[in-house]
Amino acid sequence: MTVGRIPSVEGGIQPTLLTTKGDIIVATGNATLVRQGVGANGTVLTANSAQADGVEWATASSMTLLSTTTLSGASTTISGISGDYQDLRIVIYGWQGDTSNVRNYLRLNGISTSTYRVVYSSSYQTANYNFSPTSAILTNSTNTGNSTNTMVVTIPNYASTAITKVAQFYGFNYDNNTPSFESYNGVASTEISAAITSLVFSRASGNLTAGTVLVYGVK
Amino acid sequence: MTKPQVKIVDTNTGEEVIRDANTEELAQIEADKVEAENAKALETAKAHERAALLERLNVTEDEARLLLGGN
Repeated sequence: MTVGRIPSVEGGIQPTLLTTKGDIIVATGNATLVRQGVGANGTVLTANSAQADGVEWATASSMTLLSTTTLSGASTTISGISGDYQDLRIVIYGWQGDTSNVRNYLRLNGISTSTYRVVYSSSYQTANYNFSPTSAILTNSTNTGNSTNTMVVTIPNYASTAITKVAQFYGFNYDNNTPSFESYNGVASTEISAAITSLVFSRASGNLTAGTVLVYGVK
Repeated sequence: MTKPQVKIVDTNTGEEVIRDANTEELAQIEADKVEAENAKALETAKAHERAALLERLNVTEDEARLLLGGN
């Protein structure tokens, strides 16, 4: 069999329409076909009615691990956070200190003025916790030796310099004294409009003794 | 007495610095302690107030939780 160019026939598609590896054919309208050139590596084809052919290549949603940090000292600062992403996702596990029954603190850009309004519900008690205003994003107390805890914090539009930042968080603690499990979720609004470039972790008192922080950029 | 230490990690360079807390950081540590103590005192006062109210109403904590829709 000979493979090659075929004469134009009614309803046929000329193979010369496609020129590059990965090219596809799309319609701009009824019975009107055009070449959609292959997109950049890692991009995905997305519908967009504003485009002549109704589709475009767009950056795929993804999470990039920016840093992995072990908590220690009176405070641990993670600085130099890239502003190249849409959202920031922070996963903290095994957050522990040397002083019992004190809260864990997270400060955006190290800001410690009373700019945070924190409210969260917890399986620990019926009423909501309400700290408004307060000097940090904080959650329920944890005890010395309490390494069974995980917290996830998401900050949308963290790199914006125009909007005030909000952080959504959820997690769980295992209280080794009671003993009991606590699940919680909440939100912290702030008056911070600057881009978030650093995170400061500490405890209400004493030192951090353990804990791992994973910082992800989300597109 | 040894000064508290702080750790700073730069995600761009990977550089990690551990140093003594400076004056500003020491002031923050003290402020946090005071804030935590105040919060604790407030929580304790509220707990006492709650216990006194429950006693006055002659209901247990579980009954009160049930009344408020908790579990």
